[in-house]
Amino acid sequence: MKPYIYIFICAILAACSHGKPPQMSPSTEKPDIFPDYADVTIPSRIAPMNFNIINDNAEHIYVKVTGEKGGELETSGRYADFDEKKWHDLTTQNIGADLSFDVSVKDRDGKWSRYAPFVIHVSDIPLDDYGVVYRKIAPGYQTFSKTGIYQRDISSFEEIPVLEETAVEGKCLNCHYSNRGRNDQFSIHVRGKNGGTILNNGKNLVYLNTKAPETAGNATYGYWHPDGRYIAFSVNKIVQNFYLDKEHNIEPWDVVSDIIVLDTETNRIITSPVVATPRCETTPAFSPDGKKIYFCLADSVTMPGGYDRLKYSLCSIDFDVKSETFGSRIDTLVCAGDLGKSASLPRPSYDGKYLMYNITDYGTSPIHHSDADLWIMDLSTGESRNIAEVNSDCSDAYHNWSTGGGWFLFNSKRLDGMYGNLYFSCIGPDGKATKPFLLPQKNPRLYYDEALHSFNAPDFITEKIDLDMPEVRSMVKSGKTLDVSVKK
Amino acid sequence: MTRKNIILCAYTIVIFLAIWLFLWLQCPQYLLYHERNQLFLFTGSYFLHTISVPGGMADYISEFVVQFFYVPVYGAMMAALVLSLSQLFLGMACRRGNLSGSAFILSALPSLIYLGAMSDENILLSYAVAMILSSLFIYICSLFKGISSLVCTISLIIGFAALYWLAGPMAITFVIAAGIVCRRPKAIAIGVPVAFAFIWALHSIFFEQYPLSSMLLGINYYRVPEIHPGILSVIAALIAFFPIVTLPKIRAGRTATYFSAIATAAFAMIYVPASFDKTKSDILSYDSLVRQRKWTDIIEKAQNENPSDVFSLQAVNLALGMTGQLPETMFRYSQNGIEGLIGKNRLDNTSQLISAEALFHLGLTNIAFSKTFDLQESIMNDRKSGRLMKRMAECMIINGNYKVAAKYLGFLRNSLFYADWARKAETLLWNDNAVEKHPAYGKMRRNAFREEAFYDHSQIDKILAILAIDSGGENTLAWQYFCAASMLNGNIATLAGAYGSPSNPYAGLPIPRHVQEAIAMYWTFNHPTFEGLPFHLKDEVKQQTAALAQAVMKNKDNPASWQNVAPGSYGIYFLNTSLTRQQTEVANEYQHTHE
Repeated sequence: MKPYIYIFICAILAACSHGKPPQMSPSTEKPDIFPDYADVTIPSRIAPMNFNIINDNAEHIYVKVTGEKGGELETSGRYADFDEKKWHDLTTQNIGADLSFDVSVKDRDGKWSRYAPFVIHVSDIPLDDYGVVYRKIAPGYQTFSKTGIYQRDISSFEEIPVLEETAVEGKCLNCHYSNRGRNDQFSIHVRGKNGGTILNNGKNLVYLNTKAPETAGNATYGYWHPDGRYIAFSVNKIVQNFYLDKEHNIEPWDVVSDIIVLDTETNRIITSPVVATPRCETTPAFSPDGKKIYFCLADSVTMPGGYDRLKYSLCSIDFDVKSETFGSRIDTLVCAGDLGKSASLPRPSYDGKYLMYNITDYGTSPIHHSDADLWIMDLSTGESRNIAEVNSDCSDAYHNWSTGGGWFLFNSKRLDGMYGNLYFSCIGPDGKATKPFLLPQKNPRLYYDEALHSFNAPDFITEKIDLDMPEVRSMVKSGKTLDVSVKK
Repeated sequence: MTRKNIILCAYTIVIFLAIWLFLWLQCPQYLLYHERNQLFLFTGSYFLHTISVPGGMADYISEFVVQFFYVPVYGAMMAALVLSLSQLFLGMACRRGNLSGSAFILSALPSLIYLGAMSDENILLSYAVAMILSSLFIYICSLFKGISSLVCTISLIIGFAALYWLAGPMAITFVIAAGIVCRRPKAIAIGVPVAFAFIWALHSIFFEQYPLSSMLLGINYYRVPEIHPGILSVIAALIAFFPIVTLPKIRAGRTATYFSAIATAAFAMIYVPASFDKTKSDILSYDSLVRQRKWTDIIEKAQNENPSDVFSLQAVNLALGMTGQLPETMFRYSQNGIEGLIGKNRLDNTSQLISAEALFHLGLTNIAFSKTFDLQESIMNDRKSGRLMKRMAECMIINGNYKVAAKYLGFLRNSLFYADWARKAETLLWNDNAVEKHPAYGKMRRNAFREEAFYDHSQIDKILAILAIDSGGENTLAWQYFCAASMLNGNIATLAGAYGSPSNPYAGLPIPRHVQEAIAMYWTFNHPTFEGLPFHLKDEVKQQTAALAQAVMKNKDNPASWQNVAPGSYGIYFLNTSLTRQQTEVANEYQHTHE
């Protein structure tokens, strides 16, 4: 080989090789990174917290992570991309301790800068769920090009489709509801021609028409009873209005909404005149002991003119499984009138300690309200507070708890105000929520810049979901649904 | 190069030129339609995403080509290149045998049929690219003469697997055609079942999220999933069995070649133009003219032939509005109520385009954004749109939602034809001062709808009035649309009241011709003469209105006799629609009493 070829190869290698930064003292300034992972608390099983430097002039990054209880991890490249196995070794070794991130950045002129380290705390509260499930959907108005329900192993970057729109002839797929994250008890609504509810009741897969002649509409927002036999649903007829002014966007509201309970063994619907009234009852959730249903209730107002007077209170009603009956009295936990606000989406923690819900100025759709905040109620005292430590100026909604308790996830539009992304936090021993962190991605900047979908209706799942696709496709294609009947 | 080869090359060049000129001069609107239903990006993730399904490489190449449809002359050239290459490879593959000359000429048939099939605007160029790739593979196989059946079978199976990934199920045509070219029927007999088994296995293991029918007929040959027009199967069958023409052992003379040439030319000249539907072509044509803001061309087109559908009418009314003529001349064209101005929601990738354009120019950026967003989401094969994303970015810049605008501009920056615009638009981000000084966006931001209220299509005239009046006289398009909407709705009292209001910034402007006609007609309902009319109307308008009133009174039961008294006037529109309304009411009453 001729010498100039050697020189050329060496020059290429030299150009590609950035190596480690020279020895230098860190500045007092912390690095500007995306996502903002500084001072967040993570479960030890979480996927590597890869991040990008927010600096157009940055060419190369070198990161050294040091565990408080020992262990080190290094990475370098255009962004911080940690080895998955080494990352988990380090986080496991440092449960209950801090990881310190020492970041150095080389700019286009070849000059290195070393920043003050930032810290990520590895929580000793375990998050043992397999991962999360969510619907990816464009945050649109009336049409959606491709929707799908996906599951993501939280310890890696692997995302697997559960059911994509392509599999069911372009039907719109609605939220996935499971019984405490189980992969054998869940429901998925399919809308449009041949629509129905795919229901796995733990024994078999059925396709239900959840609209009975006596009920106001199809089953919509659901929550499973802990015994796995019953699902509380609201039946909603939803319409949307679009705002003319730039400060607002969409206002969905219910023409009709009532609460029902579906018996998945007999396909019978249990109703009660107490929760099927001309008022609006919606978004039910069973209490962890299954004896109560939390839900939201609003007095009817003339719509759409009275949209800003539509205020939902957070309520509960007893439900007796043995007799399959609702209680006769509605308890108001949070009164809309007192707050001048509207509550929605109650979600109790499975350990029965907390009840998380949304508060907005009005209405029933927090994902469309930039003022939507997460609130939490201590169920032992009944006291509620705004979880200011996790809320943002944008919509924070669609929350739920990990099956082991402690951790919760939610959808937040804080990145740009339009596309909802998935955030995690946990309630610490002091009752305060930790700073939320964005769902890790291999190359977060690239992923979130190119994402034209929202992570809709996310939830934890304990195991990977494996749908029998030929059966699902056959059910949806035939459109043959089992009818539900109303218990007399 | 032999003389024969020169003639064959010349033939391919003739095919190329014919297709190029046809697409460029006759069908630019179809090219623009395809272009607006995709957004090709020069990014690694776009490449990986596109090639992640069977036929993905054909999709990628196709989308690369379709981006040039943005400039129809180049786009037509690229499409012609694709179709003529397909002919060239297929023709070259069939040069074995005695009928090689005729076969080469007839090898243009699949491309010509595809050209005709382009009249279905949802047939994607991916199919044509798959035709090239399959023809190329057939040609490569034809180079290996005298291979054994076993080698041929193995080659066909390996070739199929590779081609299936590159081009999708068109690869089956390769197995059949290459087997015929190599004269190995056993290889076909084994290769075809193996190909189907391969597809079935691939579906069961990796592509459960697609129906098997899509795997067999193509995931992205047609824009609407799970639809596969029969014409595509005809083309595939033609490619698969085309090499049969090389099998006969008869010695063909020049007569066969001449006959093939004449038959091919006749087919092209009759079948291809006849495939294109005029109404659809007109709709796409109006859309492309609106996109290019060729307002005078739109008006000229409408003057030559009255628009026959609501979509085209919306385009004409928008053009009239953009040139300041809407309430002056709109009733020269057949109007169709408010729908002819701004349409109700229809969930497809076209119907709302002109309405979204109009809403944007009117300054209702929130509603324009929502309609544009829905239009993009209505692209059935999950592609995004450069044109629509650009509009969405514009709306977000005007609304001051810079983070979302930056996201869209980030996509457009990675495209070919939108990149320059995106880079310029990026200078407006987080720069309110620059946006306010921008000649178009600044005006739209100033004139934005400020009240917290819902959009209600049935109240569009009120929304337009607020928009126009709140702008202090700057939003003349909104005022024109308000006048038009009031006239179309028959709300003449409101319109006359608005012109008479001292607080109306447009009251001092000359009253447009049709508004004069409307006011004059309204006045004649209650007054025998024009004395005391508080507006200055042209004498000609008064005379025409009086003549129309007399004609109506004289021939109450003969509407045909009024039509020529004041042609193209508001009075005729009003009387005709009133008449229709009355007839409908009578019909309804009749129905009620007989039910």
